[in-house]
Amino acid sequence: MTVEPAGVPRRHDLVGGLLAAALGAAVVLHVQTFPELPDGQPGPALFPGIVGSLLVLFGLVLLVRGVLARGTPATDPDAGITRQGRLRALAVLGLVIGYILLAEVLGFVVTMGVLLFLLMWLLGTRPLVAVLATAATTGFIFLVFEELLLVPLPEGPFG
Amino acid sequence: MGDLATALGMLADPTLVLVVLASAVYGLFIGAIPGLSATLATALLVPFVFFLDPLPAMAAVITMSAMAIFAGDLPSALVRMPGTPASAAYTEDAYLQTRAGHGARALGVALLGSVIGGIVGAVVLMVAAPLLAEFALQFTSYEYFWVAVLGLTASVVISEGSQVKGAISLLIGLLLATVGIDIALGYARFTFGNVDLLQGISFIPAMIGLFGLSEVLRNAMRPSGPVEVIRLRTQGMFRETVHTLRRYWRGMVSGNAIGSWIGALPGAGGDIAAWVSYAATKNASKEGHLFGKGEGHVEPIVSAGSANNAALASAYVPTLVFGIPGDTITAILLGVLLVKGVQPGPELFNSNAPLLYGVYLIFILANLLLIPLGYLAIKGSSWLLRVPTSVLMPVIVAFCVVGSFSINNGYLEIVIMLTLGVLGYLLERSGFPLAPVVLGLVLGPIVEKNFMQSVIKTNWDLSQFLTRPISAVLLVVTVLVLGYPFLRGLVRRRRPVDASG
Repeated sequence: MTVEPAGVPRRHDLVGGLLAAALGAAVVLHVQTFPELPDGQPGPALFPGIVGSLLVLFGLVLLVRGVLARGTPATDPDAGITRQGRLRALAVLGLVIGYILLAEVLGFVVTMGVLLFLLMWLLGTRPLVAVLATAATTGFIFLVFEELLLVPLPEGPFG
Repeated sequence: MGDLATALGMLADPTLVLVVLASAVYGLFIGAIPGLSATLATALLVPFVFFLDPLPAMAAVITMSAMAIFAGDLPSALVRMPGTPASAAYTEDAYLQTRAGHGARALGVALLGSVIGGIVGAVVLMVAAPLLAEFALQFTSYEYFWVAVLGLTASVVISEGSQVKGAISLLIGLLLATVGIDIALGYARFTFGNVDLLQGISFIPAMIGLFGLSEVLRNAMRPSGPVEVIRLRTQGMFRETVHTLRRYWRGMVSGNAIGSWIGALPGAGGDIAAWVSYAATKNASKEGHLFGKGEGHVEPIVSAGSANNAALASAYVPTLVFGIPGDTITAILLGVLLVKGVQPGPELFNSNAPLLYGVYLIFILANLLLIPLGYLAIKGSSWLLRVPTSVLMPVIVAFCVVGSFSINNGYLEIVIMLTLGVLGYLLERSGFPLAPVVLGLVLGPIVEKNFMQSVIKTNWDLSQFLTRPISAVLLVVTVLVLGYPFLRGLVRRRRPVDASG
């Protein structure tokens, strides 16, 4: 196995190019509402306008290249990703969102503890190991950030 | 030499010694775990570094990255997986050497090669940076505009894979940099009524998401199973290592030269340096046909293994002199320094010489410290590699969340981290390089500020960008860099035989 930049199938070029061009177009449209400088020269709109236009340009280049590059065999970067894998990644995102929503209510120790334990358990850690690792990590972070670096971590009903 | 004495005094600070030791252990640990790069280690270290003075902050990043890039060679040799992308070029050789019973020599060479590379890169930094700074003192907003544009251009041209994708990555970074109050009128751009976004996209959480959370997502999608670690015998390791280094001294010289050069280019770091050095060694060596096959070969480990550490140090040349990061690690460090109110640039060489001497000394110190600590890491490598990712990944998520929060004690930072994490995952999966995104984020405001200052100063006389002597030279260099892929394409077409090497 030599590690080289992996080939990416055309689908990713098509979608990536299309999204980049669409984003660029949206930016170019949006900056039309920005104010001009007093002397009538473009001010706040100039830089994002240029960036947006270039995004449209390079997005279209990628799109066209993706369409033209017919039949080039490429290794699929999605190969080996299972439904279970996708669910696990979504769980990571869901748990972080859960932390954002609940940390102020439940406090750092409880919210982070639950996040860590659930995530370890979902990724296949044995429950006992997960409990110990969760306690150690939560304690370590609390000590370092709250006590040493004086970051006010969210406090809950249980401290 | 009063500055040097001041710098030595700063190094004697117990906090700094503690910071250096802790970040060394941390760097060895993260570097040895496949998939966790030195950039990720930097991003996760930053929330801690943020609370330190500039010198200990830089010392932490310098020590950590030197350790991590060497430690990346451990899993290469033992489980055939590069610990960091900088080791990927010679992973196959390191592994085959280990399987053939030469593992201790391979890792010994990797260790001493890393130390030598790191010190050579640091010497290049000490010599080149003050000279360039002298020159850079003449720069005005026009020249800084061009230097930043040059940095952005170079980051795209040398990005791995497709340059069109590199350009799109860069533009995404530049676009993210425009969020918030604009420099000319103070107009709120792309904030969509959110008051917290007026300050712009907070840089540190963005980096934590882009490199930290995205790696967790990648790993969650495709968890790596338990690994089989080859046992090592370290008897007589150093004697054999020194013998090997003397035998392949040419590879050592070329590796250090290539590494120092590539590292100093904006946006190209240790991984690209290692690939280029590997290819150069393979072309130059009589035994090049043996590389990557059979028992593998130790020569590419000598050259590429020192090239990546040399690149790591020389990346600080453009970072300190022009404020243009040489790789993703220095890009993150630059972002932190700017937040802390230290503006790297030629003035720094006059106004804060002790800080610079301190940085030079830290480089030497960190690389010397790598010898004993790296040896211990080789000894304990089988233990290091058994840390289960199912425990480690959640711990990284916890540090991503708390680290982002700690920057401003706010939840917007966690949202930024989360969003950029998803973005980083999607970009990387579709073959878009991440380094240009970081450079765009760091350099975008510099490009815009210097452009706006220049044109408002001269009432939109754009000719100044072209006619000032240094500006004109920088413009020509930028055009040359832009034209480089086309030129290379032409040369390749003419000489199809050479292109295979």
